[in-house]
Amino acid sequence: MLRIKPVLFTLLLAGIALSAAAQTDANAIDKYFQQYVNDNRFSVVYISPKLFQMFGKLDVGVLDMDNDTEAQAVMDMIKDLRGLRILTTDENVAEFYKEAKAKINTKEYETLMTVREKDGNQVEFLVREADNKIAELLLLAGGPGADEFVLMSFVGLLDLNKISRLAKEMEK
Amino acid sequence: MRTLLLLCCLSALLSGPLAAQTSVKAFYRDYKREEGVFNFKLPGWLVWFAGGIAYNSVRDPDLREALWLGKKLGNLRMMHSENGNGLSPQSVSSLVDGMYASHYEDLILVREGDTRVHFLVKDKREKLKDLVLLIHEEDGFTLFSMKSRLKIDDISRLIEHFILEDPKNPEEPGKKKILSAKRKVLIPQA
Repeated sequence: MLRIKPVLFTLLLAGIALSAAAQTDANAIDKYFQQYVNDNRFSVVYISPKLFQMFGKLDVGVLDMDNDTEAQAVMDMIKDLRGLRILTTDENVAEFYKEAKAKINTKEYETLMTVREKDGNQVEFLVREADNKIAELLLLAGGPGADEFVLMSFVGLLDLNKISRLAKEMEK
Repeated sequence: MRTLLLLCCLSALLSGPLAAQTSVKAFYRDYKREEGVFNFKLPGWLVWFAGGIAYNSVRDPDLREALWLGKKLGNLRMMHSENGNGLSPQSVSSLVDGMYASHYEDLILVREGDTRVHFLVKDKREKLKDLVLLIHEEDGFTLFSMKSRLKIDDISRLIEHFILEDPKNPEEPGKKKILSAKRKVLIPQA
């Protein structure tokens, strides 16, 4: 005969373990952001996946953008976004930049471009890919000679063709 | 021993949701009578009732659309203070933490220096049930809280109405064009 108490007990423990496991799924950049989101030394901008999800469900066809190809390209891009996070500070710029760089998992993120100035100011663009699309576009700016440390992260499934189309429209 | 462990696990799982269920309501109740705080509250039934009566009385399409939106709103609460009557950062953090515990999610968060702006929402089955806008600065704050039954389709409809009906560029003289997001039906207005 099935004993209820051990079954219930096991299910409860499993539930607690699963919810704890879900919290550890965030990558190092997520954790870095969470670490400093409430730190008064930083300015923060966060636009949640939920807002982009809601935006994606809007019937943007009614916005009548048939003649505005640039706006159409922007809307196409925004629909793929799933979050935007920006952290900036002008305190201990070199330290925070070094710390953020150390958190980047080189197996997950690939450097697209690096710009390094003579005074030590450095800007890096990195991407994390998934299913042949860009899952995250990361911008890191800072360094010993920089006035400001900036971490900017766009999360989504960004299609390079759409980014290219947007770039072309903006150049017109 | 097993029973004791079972009870501990149950209380750990339940304590989160139960602890902060009325955080916005409690915050409003605690601070509304503070000096320098302006507050007002509109019960949901009053918004629905007044909106319903007015909806049947007006002919202006923009007003009807706004009143139709009003019927989907519930309790409204607003608090505002300025000129040095701000809240402590700890009380704001406590409010925000309480809302996170009550399954509110940030749609937008902006923080710079002593200023923070939170736009939070709690949704259920694709309906925006609770919306909270919190702006906290060094010398003041604004809290706006609203219950609603709005869906994304409703927001689409509003955008569609107020963007398509541009009085400076009427598409057809003597006729306003209202398109339904779902039906795409042209409704001529006299």
